[in-house]
Amino acid sequence: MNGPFDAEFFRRVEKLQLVFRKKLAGLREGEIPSGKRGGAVEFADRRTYSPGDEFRHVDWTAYLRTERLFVKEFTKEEAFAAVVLMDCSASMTEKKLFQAKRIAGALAYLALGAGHRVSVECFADVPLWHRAKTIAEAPALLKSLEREQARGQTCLDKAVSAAFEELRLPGLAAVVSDLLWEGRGNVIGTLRAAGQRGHDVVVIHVLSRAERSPEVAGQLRLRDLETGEKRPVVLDDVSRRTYLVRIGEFIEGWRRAVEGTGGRYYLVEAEEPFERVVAAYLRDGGLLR
Amino acid sequence: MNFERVWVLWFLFAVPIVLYVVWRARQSRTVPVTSLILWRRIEEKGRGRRFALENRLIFAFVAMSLMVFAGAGPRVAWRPEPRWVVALDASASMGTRTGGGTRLSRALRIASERLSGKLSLLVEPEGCFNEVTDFSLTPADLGKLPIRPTEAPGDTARLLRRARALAQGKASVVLLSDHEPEAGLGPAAGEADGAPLSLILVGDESHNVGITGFGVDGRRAFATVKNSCPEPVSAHVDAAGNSYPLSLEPGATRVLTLPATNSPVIIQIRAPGDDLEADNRVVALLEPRKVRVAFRGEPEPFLTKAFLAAGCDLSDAESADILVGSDGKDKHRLQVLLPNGAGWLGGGELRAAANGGLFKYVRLDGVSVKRLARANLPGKAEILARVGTQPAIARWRTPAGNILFLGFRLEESNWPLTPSFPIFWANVVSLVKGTAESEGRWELTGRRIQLDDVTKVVAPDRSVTVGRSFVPWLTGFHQAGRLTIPVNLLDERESDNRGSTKLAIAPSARHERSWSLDRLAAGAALVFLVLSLL
Repeated sequence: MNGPFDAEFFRRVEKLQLVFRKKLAGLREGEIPSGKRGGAVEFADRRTYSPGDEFRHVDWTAYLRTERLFVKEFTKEEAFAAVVLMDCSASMTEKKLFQAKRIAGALAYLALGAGHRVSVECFADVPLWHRAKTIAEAPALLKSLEREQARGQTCLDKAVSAAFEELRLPGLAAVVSDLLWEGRGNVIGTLRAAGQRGHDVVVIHVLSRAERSPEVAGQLRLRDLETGEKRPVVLDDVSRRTYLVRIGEFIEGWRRAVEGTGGRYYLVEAEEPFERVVAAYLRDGGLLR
Repeated sequence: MNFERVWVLWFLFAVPIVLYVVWRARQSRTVPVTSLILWRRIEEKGRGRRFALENRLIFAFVAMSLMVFAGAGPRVAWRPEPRWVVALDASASMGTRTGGGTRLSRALRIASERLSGKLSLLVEPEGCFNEVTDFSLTPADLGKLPIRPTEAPGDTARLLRRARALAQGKASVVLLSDHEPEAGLGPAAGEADGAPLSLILVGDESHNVGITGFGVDGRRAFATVKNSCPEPVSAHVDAAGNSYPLSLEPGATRVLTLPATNSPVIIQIRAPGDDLEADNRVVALLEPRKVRVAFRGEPEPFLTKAFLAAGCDLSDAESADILVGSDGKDKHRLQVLLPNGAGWLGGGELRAAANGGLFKYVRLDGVSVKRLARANLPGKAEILARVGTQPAIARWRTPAGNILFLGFRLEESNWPLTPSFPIFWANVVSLVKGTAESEGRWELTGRRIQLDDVTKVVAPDRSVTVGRSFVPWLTGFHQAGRLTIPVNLLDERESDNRGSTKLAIAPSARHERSWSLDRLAAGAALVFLVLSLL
C-alpha cells in the first residue's frame, strides 16, 4: 500500500476547497476578513528580517534609526483558524487510521491552502500536536501525520477540550475518529459550547466494515485493542442482530448529538477509496467543494 | 445399593476425559475488536449463553454418568417393616391339650412372641372366625383374639394357598399348625410365590384315642376306633346304655359293632389321658329309610310320578325296595310285574275285590281298561281287582319278596288320570315301608347345612346362630328349630396325632424388597442428554 499522501491524494485534494459555515477569526490580514474587530495582538520583541516575513510587520522606525530591517514579533496571537483532531488510539486499526490520516491531511492541506493556520492534534492517551502556519509547512505536517501510529486509549473529551483551547477565536474544529468513547455526553457538551462560541464543528466518524457488520461467529473471546480486556461472547444470528441494532444506535446517536450542537457529521467507512470518500461523503456533504 | 455389573462403573473414569476433549474442542477463540463498548449488551447475552454452554457440559456429564450408572444395573434393597400373613390352623387336632393348653393357644403364644410388625390372620377351617386381612393386627393382638379350636377337620394346603394369595409377595407367610400340608409346602420348601414361608408347628407328642369312622345299618352301629398313642391303651366304649372294655395296641384301628335299637344313637369312648375330646363321641338319629324304587327298562311315567309323590327315591335296581317291571325272580321287597302282551283279553271296567288293604281309600268308579293280559297266577295269589271275571291286579308272596301283578297297561287305562291311582300306590309304598329298616342320620362338622327357612340354631355349647344355613363347628346335637341335627367329627387325620411333628421354625426370614434403578437412571440420563443438546 502506498502512503496516505501519495500523488493521487494531492491530485484529488488540489481541486477541492473547504467550505466554512461561519466566518472565522485568526486569519491573516488581507486574506479572508474576520468578523471580529481588533485583536489581542501584543508586541513582544524584534528580530532581524528574513525573507518570507510579513512585510507589514517590518519596524520602519527601527529601520530609520539603524538602517537595518527588523521585524516586530507578537506574543499571542497564534490563534489557529483550524484544528483537526485525529484519533490515534489503538482502536484505530490500520485501515481506519489510514483513512483518518488522509481525511485529516486533506482538511489540513485545504485549510493551509486557504491561508489558515492549522493545528493537528493526534490524540490518544498522550496527544501530539502538529502545527503549520503556511502552505509551505504542509509537507512537513503531512509527513508528521504519516508517521503517526495507533497507540494507547482514546481520551476524546480531553482532546476536544484541548482543541478548543487551541481555537481561542472562532475557527474550524474537525474531529476524525471512530468515536469509540463512552463519555459521549461530555464531548457533546464541549462541542455544543464550541458551536455557541462560533466555532465551525465537523465530526468525521470513521468505522470499518468489520465494526459495522462483524463476520466472525461462534464461541468467541473478544479482546479490546485499547484496554486488552477480554470478554467471552457467543456470536450467533440472534446476537449478530442485536449487535447490528446496537451499532446502528451508536452511529445514529452520534449523528443526532453532533447535529444537535450545530455541527456537521460525516460517516466514513475505512475501506472506502479516498476519491469516493471525498466525492460521496465530504463533497456531497458540503464540507468540500 | 448393589450393582449387577460393577465393572461397568470403571467407565465413569472415562466420562471426564470425554467431556474434557469436548470442552477443549468447544473452547472459544480470541478475536481482537476495536472496543468492547459495542459488545457490552451482546456480551451480557453471550454470558447467559456461555452459562448455558457450561450447563450443557454439566448436563452431558450427568447424562453420561447416569448412562454408565444405568449400565451397571443398580438395585436398591431395603427391609420394610415386616408384614406377616398368619395362617392359623384351627382344626380339631389343634384342640389337643398338651402341657395345660391347646395346641392352638400355644401356637398363638409362640407367634406373638416371635413375630414383629403387622399381621393379617387367616383361619382354617374357613369361616369359623372373622379373619383380619388388612395387616392391622400386632403380634400382641394374637393372644387377645377369641379364637378357639373347632371340632372340624381343616385343610392346611388350602389355608396355605389362601395365605400366599393374600401375601402377594409383599408379606411373609407363617403357618401355625400341628402338621405340614399333605401336599408339601409349595414349589420350593420355605419359599412360595416370592413370599418367605415360616412354620410354627406345635404338634407335640400326644395321647389320643378317637372314633374315625361311624355307620348305622339297620339295628347295628359300626364305629372305627383308632389308638394314636405310642403305647397300648385300655378304654371303654359306651353304647345304648352299656359299657364295653376295649384294648388297643399303638396305632391299632378296630371296627366295633354295637347295638343301635333306639334313637338317638350315642357312642362314647373313654380313655384315660386322652388329649383330644372332639373325636371321642359320635351321635346319630335313627330314621326309617326311604323306599327306593327302580324300573327295569324305561321308567313308566305314571308310576314314576306316583312313587315320587309317595316319598320314594329312585335308585338303581340293585338297592331298590320296589322293582317295577320285574319278572318275579329278583330279590326285592316288592316286585311289580307288568303285562308282557301275551294273550290279550277284552277290556272293561276295573273293580276292586275288597275295600281295605291296598285299596283303602281307593275308589275305582269309572276306571276302565282297554285290554287285559291273560294271567297265569299261582294258587296262593290274592286277587285285588278284576275286569269282569278276569283278575286285573293280584299279589302273592314268594321267598324273594312280595309280587304285585298289574294285568293291563296303564297307558291303555284311564286309571292314572283319577285320584285313586296315586292313593293306591301310596298304599303300596306304605306296605313296603312298614318293613323297611331304620337308618342313622348325622352330619359332619365343617360342612354347611341348608335349612328350609331362616332358623335359629343352638349349638352344643349353647351358642346361637340364625340363618337359612349354618356350618357346625362342634360335634353333638344342634337344635335347628324343631329339627335335631346330630354332628360328628369323622376325620382320621384329625385323630391321628402321631402325624404331628415337634418342629418349630423361627420366623427369621424377612421379605427383602428391592428396586431396580437402571430404568430410572436411563430415563434420567435421557433427560439430561436432551438438556445438554438444547
